[in-house]
Amino acid sequence: MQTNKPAVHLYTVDDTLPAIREICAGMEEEGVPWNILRMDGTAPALAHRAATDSVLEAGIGLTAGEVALQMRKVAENRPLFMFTAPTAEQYRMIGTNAARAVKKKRFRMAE
Amino acid sequence: MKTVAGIDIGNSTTEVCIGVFDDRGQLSFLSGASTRTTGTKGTPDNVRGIRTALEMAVQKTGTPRVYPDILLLNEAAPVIGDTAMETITETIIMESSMIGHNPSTPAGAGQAVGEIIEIGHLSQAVQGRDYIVTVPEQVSYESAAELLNSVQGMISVTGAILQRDEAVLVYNRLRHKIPILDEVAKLSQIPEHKQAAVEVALPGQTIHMLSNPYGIATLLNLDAEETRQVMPIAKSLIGKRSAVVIKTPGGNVRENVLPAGEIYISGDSEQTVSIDAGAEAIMAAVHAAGTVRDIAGQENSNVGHMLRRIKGGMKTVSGQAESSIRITDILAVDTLAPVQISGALAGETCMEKAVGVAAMVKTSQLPMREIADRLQSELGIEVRVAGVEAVMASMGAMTTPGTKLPLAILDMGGGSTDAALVTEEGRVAVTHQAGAGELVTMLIQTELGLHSRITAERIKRYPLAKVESLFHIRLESGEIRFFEEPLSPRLFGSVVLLEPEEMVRIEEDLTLEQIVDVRREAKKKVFVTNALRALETVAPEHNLRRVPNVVLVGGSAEDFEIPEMLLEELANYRVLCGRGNIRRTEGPRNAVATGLVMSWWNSRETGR
Repeated sequence: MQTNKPAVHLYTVDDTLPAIREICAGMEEEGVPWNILRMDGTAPALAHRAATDSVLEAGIGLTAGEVALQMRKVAENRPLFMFTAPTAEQYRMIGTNAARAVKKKRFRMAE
Repeated sequence: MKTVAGIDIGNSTTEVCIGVFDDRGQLSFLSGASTRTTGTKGTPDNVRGIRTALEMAVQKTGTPRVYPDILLLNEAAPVIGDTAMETITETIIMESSMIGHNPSTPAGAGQAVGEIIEIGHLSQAVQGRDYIVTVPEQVSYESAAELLNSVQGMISVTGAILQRDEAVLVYNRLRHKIPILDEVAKLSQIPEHKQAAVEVALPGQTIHMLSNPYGIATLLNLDAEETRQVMPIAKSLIGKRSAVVIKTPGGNVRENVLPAGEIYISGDSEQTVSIDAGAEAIMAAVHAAGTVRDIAGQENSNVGHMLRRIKGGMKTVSGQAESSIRITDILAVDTLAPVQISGALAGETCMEKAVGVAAMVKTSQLPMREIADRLQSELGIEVRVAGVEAVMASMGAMTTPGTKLPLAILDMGGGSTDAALVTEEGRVAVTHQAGAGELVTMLIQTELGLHSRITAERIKRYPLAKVESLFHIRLESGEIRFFEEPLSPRLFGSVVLLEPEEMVRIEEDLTLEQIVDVRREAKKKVFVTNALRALETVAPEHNLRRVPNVVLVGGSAEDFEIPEMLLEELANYRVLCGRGNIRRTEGPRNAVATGLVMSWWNSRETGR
């Protein structure tokens, strides 16, 4: 069985996507650990599952064109943040906010 | 049977009470209503608000609706309040020379000293010198880290300042760790080739070298004179998580004492006091002047402008000559205002000393008859102007269960705090004091550095909570409240106001404790001070202990914490004090309107 270390889970259909770099930079700057896993599904479904599995109760779902951030116990169809065809800044923001969800700090909102 | 409506026009609300008298003069109340005052109190503009309130009250009389046979307008006390702020000190930085701010994630810890150099110019750096590198936003964290690693061992880089929020990202990739500060928006304004000191505090701590004048002197080799000059810098860096101080030989930081205005008080004795002497000295002068005839401010000072402005306002309202309009009271309160430091690089502010002033202007009479005539012709109902405001308020307040004569009322509104004392023989003493809800709002706005007055007004009015998760909040009382549905992500981690219908997020980066402290302090400074002043004025022999019981009425008596503050304070003088409950149903509102209706039976024949 895989050990479940305290980390934000990032579930993605493809773990070679370049977006992962930006997302993780967001989490690294905030000093929160993460864990990447390959899995099939839509971004909101992956995020929901990642949040449910994460000890820190926060998860990110990433597909080729979509990214979603979710926290545990929130309905699957209502991700906290969701972007289609995101920019680099939006990927970074998803990472930052995933970390902030764990730190209980207020989210960075789009300017 | 006669149906009577009492109408009270206040600074901020217009209130109506409808009651019916049977043929023996037995009164039963039917309804009450309240709405926003339209226009300045005492002007014909008020008619619109009166009609709205009247309509609301009639609606509430039940089925069939009861329409009043006669309307009674109160003889509104001809006072208007206003507020102003005068800053006493200002900090000016000649040549940009300081950054002190709280990026959420700086990196590394400790201090560093070196010459400022942009990362792109590192090739021109010389060996044997220490450098602090600035990294503009075009440079990614990877290239910055790579470049710094590549020069390691050849050029000594002791610290870094980043424009982007990437301090941790750079730090994690460095082989040789240095303190790094980030999120400096105006990075390009940092002068190159100047000596600078950088400090990042340990987690959970604040900086200690750059917030200490001798610490700055140690790092930047300052002499005694230069050390004196950096005092304001050190002061404004207190409590920061990270900071940069740049040594600019030509540059200079000063704390100026602004030419604050003087206040001239003429009363039983003439008093002159300078605003920068502070609130205590100003209030001592007001007290020493005895009964105040008029107050004026020095020409071309903030306080002078303000006092002129409110006299002008009253002149427009009353249509009377300026000579008959006098300022009869002021309340001064010491405060601190975060003022943007001119010359700072990251929008830093410095807490400057300031004095908040509320003033009250009085004229001989307001043109109430004009309003009455307008109302009468529009509605076709007889309208009378009746009753002195304070007496009516006392009569209304007497409907609060548990009261008896002699009785004092404290009417805490938006613009002024009024007190009246009614003895068993029916003698009445009245006073109007400057300073009430609006001054509290102004103090909250300045001390918290809020952009909007509306936010300050809401902070005054509603309790706070911290949103701790999407499913629960912690109230300022420490209680936890849970939610079935997740809250909006916008609210997550924020401090919010608990308004009746919704939660509103505070945009400014302030902690719940900071806001609560400022809010409570502002209310105390204004209302506790004013309650004591006002009650002392109307008390027999000016002895507060001889005031039997106090009923709090008016809009600010509805506040969720002011009545408790006053109860606690007045308990020290063995004075019973509490929020009124007019007609057992209305709370502290509607006292004057209720009093007007009650007074009608005895005055009905005189037809004043």
